[in-house]
Amino acid sequence: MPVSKSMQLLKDDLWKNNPVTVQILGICSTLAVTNIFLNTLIMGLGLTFVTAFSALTISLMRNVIPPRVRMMVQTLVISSYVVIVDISLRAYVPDISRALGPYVGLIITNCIIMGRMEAFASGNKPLLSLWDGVLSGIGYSWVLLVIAFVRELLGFGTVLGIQVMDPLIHGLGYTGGWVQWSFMIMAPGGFFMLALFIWIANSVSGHKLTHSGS
Amino acid sequence: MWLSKGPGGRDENQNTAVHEHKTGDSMKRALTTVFFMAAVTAVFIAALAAVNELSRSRIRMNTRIQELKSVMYAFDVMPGGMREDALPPNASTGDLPWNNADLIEIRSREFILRSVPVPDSLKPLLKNSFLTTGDSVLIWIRVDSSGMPSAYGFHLRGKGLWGTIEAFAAVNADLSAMTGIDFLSQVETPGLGARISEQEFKSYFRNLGLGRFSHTASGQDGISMVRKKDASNRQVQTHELQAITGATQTCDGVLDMLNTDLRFYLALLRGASGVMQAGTEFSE
Repeated sequence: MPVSKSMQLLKDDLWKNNPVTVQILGICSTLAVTNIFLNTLIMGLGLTFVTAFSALTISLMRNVIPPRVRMMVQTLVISSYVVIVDISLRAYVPDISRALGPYVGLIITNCIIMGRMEAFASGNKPLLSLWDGVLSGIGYSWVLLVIAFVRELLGFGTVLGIQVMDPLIHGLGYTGGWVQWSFMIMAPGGFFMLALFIWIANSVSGHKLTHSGS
Repeated sequence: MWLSKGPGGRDENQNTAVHEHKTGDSMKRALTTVFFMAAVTAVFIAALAAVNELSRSRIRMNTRIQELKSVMYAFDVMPGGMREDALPPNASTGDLPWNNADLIEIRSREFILRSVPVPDSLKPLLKNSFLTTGDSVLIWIRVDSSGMPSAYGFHLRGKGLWGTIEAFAAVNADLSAMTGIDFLSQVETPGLGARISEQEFKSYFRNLGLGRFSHTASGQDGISMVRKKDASNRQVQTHELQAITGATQTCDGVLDMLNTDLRFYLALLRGASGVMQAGTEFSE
């Protein structure tokens, strides 16, 4: 695996060409599962697993897949890994599986995965594709985790389910505790947080997005 | 003579041969593609079937344990030595430190399940209910050491803001108060409506008075909700629950579900004096 190319992928997937902030992919789940940090973490791990192993599998098969059915094969591979994630969650962490509800099954519709299969895995060597899959998953997850951290903190006053705002407010000498920002927990809170995040991220990196996306 | 030549300067015989060759090629390619797709699909299906087979019993066990935890919660059976008021207000049933073996042991020792026939006279009570009953309903019965029923439990179904709410409720043997409730499934807004699954909301169902359901003539709802309750129903029994601020639609849904389905179940249990005899033993 060429070091320079892997480093380039690292920079691109995590920041310069981040799937969420720059490519604006995977937005549906970004809005839906980011009100509780733990759920977001599991979702991120699920997506990273699916993207990484789908990329590896597609890359291994890339020279034998007939071009006209390549997308069918990609969908088949991705959905198989999604089902494996779904079954594993139901078997080993049933509470989180219930909390994530239909969103695990909907990982298959996440454009990031299909995008990486088409744009990268079907034309690159297996290890490099696996690396790209892992990084794309992490690139998606870290953005979601930052959003989830803020939404959970303001919405519930908690971090990973542990109340932190109440003690902080009492520590500052105020009474009454943290007033939960219900807005942050609901869908509009997700929209605002995501928009803010994309704004900040693109201002920092100097990206200018136009309507055509260029 | 030039008319018989094709565009490439070949004659017609050559063209036909090329065409046939091409048709044969594309046919072969199409068949290869179909076989490839079928083979790949078969491989992945086999892999998924294997994963499913390996985890099936575990998933079935998880579902059963989850349901048993809810049933125990509704019947106010806590894991050994656990005090309910020690739970944080946002605790859910999944947080209770149950040991699976204990759950199954208590289930078989203290509970029986009966399928109780629904008389035609009671069916109109379910007109506005989301409960789907056939000719019979399942009733969980908790029996004391002398074999007498000490509480009854049953499934409720209602409509929340986003979807169906399913619950399991239990009432005491003389049908005067609720023992408890747990919500088996709901898709309400996390942090707002979804808080019906939290300990704080559910705690007001303990010892909730059901007296209003006996005088049906008044037209009053059996249970009502208030914004703030000063004491739990365990301390001072009332027919009131404490609503969740910001989740009016969910609370209304829960209230409708209770008032409709409880009225039906209480009438059924009152009618079938000795559900133990009326029903037939049901095995899970």
